[in-house]
Amino acid sequence: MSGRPPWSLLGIGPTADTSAIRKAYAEKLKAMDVDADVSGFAQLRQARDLALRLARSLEEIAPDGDAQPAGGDDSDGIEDAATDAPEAAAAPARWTFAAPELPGAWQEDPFFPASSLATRPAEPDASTMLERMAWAAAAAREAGHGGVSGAGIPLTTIDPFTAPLLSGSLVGDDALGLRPGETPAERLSILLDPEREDAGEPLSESEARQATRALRAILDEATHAHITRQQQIEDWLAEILARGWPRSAPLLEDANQAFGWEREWSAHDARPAVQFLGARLRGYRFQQNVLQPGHKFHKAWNELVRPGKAGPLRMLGGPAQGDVDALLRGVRKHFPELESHFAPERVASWEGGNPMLTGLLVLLGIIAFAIIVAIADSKSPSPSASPAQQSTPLGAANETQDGPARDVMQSSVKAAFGPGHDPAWLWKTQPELAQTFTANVMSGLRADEDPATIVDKTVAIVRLRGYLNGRELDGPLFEQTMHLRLAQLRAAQKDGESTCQQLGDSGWFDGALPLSASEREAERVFSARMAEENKLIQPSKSRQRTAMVPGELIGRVIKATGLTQTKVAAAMQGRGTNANRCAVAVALLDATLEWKEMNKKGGDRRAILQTL
Amino acid sequence: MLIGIDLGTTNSAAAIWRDGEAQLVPNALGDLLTPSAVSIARDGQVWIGRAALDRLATSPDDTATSFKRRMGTAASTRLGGKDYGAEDLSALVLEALVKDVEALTGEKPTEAVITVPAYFNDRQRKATRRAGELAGLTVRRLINEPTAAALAFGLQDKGDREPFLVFDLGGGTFDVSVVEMFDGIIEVRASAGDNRLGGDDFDEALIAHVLPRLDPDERLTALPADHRDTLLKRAAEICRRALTTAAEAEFTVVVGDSRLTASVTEAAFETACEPLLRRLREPVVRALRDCAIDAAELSEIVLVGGATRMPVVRRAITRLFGRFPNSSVHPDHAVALGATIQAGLAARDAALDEIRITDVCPFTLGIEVAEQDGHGGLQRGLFSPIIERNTPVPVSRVNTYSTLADNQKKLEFGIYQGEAREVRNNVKLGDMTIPVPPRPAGAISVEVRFSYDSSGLLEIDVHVPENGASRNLVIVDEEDRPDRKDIEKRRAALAALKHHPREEAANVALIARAERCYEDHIGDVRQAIGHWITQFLGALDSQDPRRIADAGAMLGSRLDEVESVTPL
Repeated sequence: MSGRPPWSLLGIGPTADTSAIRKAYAEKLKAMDVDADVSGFAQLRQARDLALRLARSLEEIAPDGDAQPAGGDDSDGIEDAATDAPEAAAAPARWTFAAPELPGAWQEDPFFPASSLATRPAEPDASTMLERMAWAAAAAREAGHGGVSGAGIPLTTIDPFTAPLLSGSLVGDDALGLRPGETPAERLSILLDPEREDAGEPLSESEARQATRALRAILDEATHAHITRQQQIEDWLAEILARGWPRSAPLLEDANQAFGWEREWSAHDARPAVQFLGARLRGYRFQQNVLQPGHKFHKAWNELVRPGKAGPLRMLGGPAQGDVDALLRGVRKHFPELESHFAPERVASWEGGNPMLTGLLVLLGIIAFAIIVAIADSKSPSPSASPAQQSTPLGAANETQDGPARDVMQSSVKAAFGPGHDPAWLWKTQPELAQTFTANVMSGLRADEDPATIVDKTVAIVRLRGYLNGRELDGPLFEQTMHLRLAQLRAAQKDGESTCQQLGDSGWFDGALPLSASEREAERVFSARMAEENKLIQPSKSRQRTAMVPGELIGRVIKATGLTQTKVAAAMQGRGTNANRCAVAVALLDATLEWKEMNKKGGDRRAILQTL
Repeated sequence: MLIGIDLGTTNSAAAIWRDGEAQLVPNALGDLLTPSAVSIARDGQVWIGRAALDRLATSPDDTATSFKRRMGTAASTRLGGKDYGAEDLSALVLEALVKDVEALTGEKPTEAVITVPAYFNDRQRKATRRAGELAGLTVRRLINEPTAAALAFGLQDKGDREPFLVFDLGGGTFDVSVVEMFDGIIEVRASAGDNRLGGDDFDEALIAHVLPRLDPDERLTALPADHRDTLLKRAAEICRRALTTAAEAEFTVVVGDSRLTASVTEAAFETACEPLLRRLREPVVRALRDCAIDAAELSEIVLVGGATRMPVVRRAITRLFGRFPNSSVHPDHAVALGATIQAGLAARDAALDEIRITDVCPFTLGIEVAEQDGHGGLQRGLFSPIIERNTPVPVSRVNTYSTLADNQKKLEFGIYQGEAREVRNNVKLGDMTIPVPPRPAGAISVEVRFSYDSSGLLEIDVHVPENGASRNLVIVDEEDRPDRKDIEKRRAALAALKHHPREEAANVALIARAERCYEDHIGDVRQAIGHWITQFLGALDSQDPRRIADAGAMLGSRLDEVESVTPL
């Protein structure tokens, strides 16, 4: 659907009337032979789906129905909004560890039961994932209007920490260790709260008992509930367990049995939480097996978990070097989270290597790309505020602007690219960006926004585009992108932790950042250069990113932030307080930028930078 | 003439489009359903349907049922000293249905729309199509069973419908489809299923539950495995059916001269089925998730398939959805009627001018690829989806792949169906090999196009832009390229079988039934049945139509009487 309004294909005008859209679709479909015109059918179907989605977003903007667009002007804007609107709903999700990779050699090892090593998950396709999240969010929104889940149980995509209101008869049961009025769900979320002081420790025996009982009560309710409820409980539980890892480890097996996650987690489109839990559960199973004396790596495991250095005679009566190597290799590859069980010094002495290597942490982030349009869509009250009039000739759109719009446009371009640039230049170099500028200026003015606010917003758009596009580049532009990003994050940190967190999570903050004059200047020069090279395009692709962060860098982060290793790890997983996460992001970016001696593993550096 | 056929695991049915509506065709015995059972004796004599089912008791070695579960596999069944594949046996059933239509209309049907479980994979679909060819039918289209049922349900009043869910639990397969109807368009939004779950599994659960009590002396264990399984399966089916109306039923097996029996309560049966009932949930969840519809939004839960008659299943469904399902369509007839509506659509019948149906591909299709991982290693055996599940069909999608090694001379990859990230956990549909000009790694890109048609059959085209080479002579499925000669040969083998003349069908079935009753009873009753059989055979020998008819009616009513009394 490259820019063509969906309605023309359906033979109707822009409308929010879903039954009219379906009717038009039905007529077109009846007039065609789908088997003879496969691509025609695909286009028709796509047009219909898009038109329906647009209609839905129109309804949301103006539930009274007076948002029905009257003419071409508005409709074009709407189309643009809707092309990207679903993605805007995507929330960033972070998982500590990518699921393990399980290629041939390792899985054929006799000590790795094949059944427990189902598959290696690939990176999910970002667009489908985003779309799915958007759909889930849309479904949640709709449900909120009066479905079953209207009873105060938001779906987990909206707020994973709102427990389903379990009606369990076990409320107040002493055996569960419940406080009066506490539900099993509440008990479980308290026990697995990632913000707890002891979140890094395994559950104590009595806690484990409580947690298991609470889980059973929850599963019991799920088994007897209808499917919507089951799904809510399942989704909620998956989130709670994933966030509560590693404390949730002993609970995974029961939940897996109840919901059949094992069948899902090897699927190419498994839900992130289930995929995450599947990988953890396989690691946990491996750990349980390796603790059995008969296991091939039992000795090697016991050796590595002993604190202190290994002596020079370590091989005498101990495990074979080969076993230790194989165990380390396997664990790092498949179950990186298990390495935290090993004593770093001992690992180091067996490896004869770098004692700084305290383990590998995997960073994972998703940055939704549609945020640019999100401003127009979510912050503006009316559909007409959406950007870009695609059917209008570009020059005309430029000329028709009246006085104040032209002025704001002028100052926006200058603010973003430096005084030597004007709108005409932008129209020439990056017409699509100029359109977005225009649209935002127009919508801002219509919404009676202060011109300075509008200018900040357009600058923020350029900043985001510069970052998202720049991190895909090579060489100096990539380095500049990252140095600017560091400056921006630091400025955001100064501005306040919510600013920093917003910038870190979404890549986007639409206010002014307190950058120094020279930093602003560097940003402008960079932006202008990117624009000249036609690189400030709409970021087309967003992938889920992972990067391995070596212990050396983590050590520097710990030093720079003064936080404990647990807190740093939590922050890297997207947990912990905003301030911590922000500090860790800044320190890690800083450390990685300086970390140039590892050029033989240059790929890693780049991967970390791209993920941050 | 174009007909619609429901080729089921347990029962099959044919229907024709007449006077602007779909009508089921009765078989030679006057039944609308023909059991999917085939029995072949050493002399090549063949029984199909009810008579074959009855011969399960007397000639278990020569009789096959539930062969649909082996569709698309190389497994064969030995009957009357010869091997038959699932396709051959299905072809015999189809042939019988064709003859029924011919008897009713005086015209031999040449084309058919045949139904398959939505979750049937490409191999199983192709096997079904070949079965149709073996029966002398051109298969105009394969249609998914829940889709057919949705057509039958949707056309009851032709009004618009909010999304509804078709819950199709048959003898061997389980499908779920979410369907919507508006302005004459019946649109399948999403399908999911389990092609290894059906009524047969409930029989097996029942057998496993009852066997320790039934056979403490291990009398059954002494029997040949085939014979024992047949006896148990038949007893389980009877017991399971009895449990649909009673809270307790007898599970009875007659071995030689002794009768083994155990009673089963509905509650115990439900407990035994618990793991199966739990498997009903996953496809429902998947289908609903895929189309982003909340279970609460569904306007109806439409039940199809004989196994949905079981109260345990109905209870599980009610619990699952928090409401009672809709039983307004006949669970055994809806699929055949829907197939016939599809036939009417394909024939562009005027009465269906304003109706269209769109379906989806319920599973993901793609190829095997290798990828560089972050550590410089090569990950092999990964699945690269080309057509994502629940994409509307027909659909044609293209993906581009490139070479991994310098001077690579050809690209080889497997074609897979499934949802797993690693191809080894998916169903392999075939292989393909494409020669490419030698270039540095990654310099050659190849476009792979998957086209999935309305019948759910896959076609693959490969194009190498580098040298303009284009190939669609891709080997998709070895089994799918049997020589014309091979098909002819198999058709000839089937044609050599001796069929009973149609006018004798009722008597043949009656004898099979009487012999089965003889096996089922012991003592005096057995002796009496033996005596009645002799009398009836005597009447047949006389070749006096009147006498035969009288003796037949007499035998039939006596058997009814015997069977209406619960065995001692």
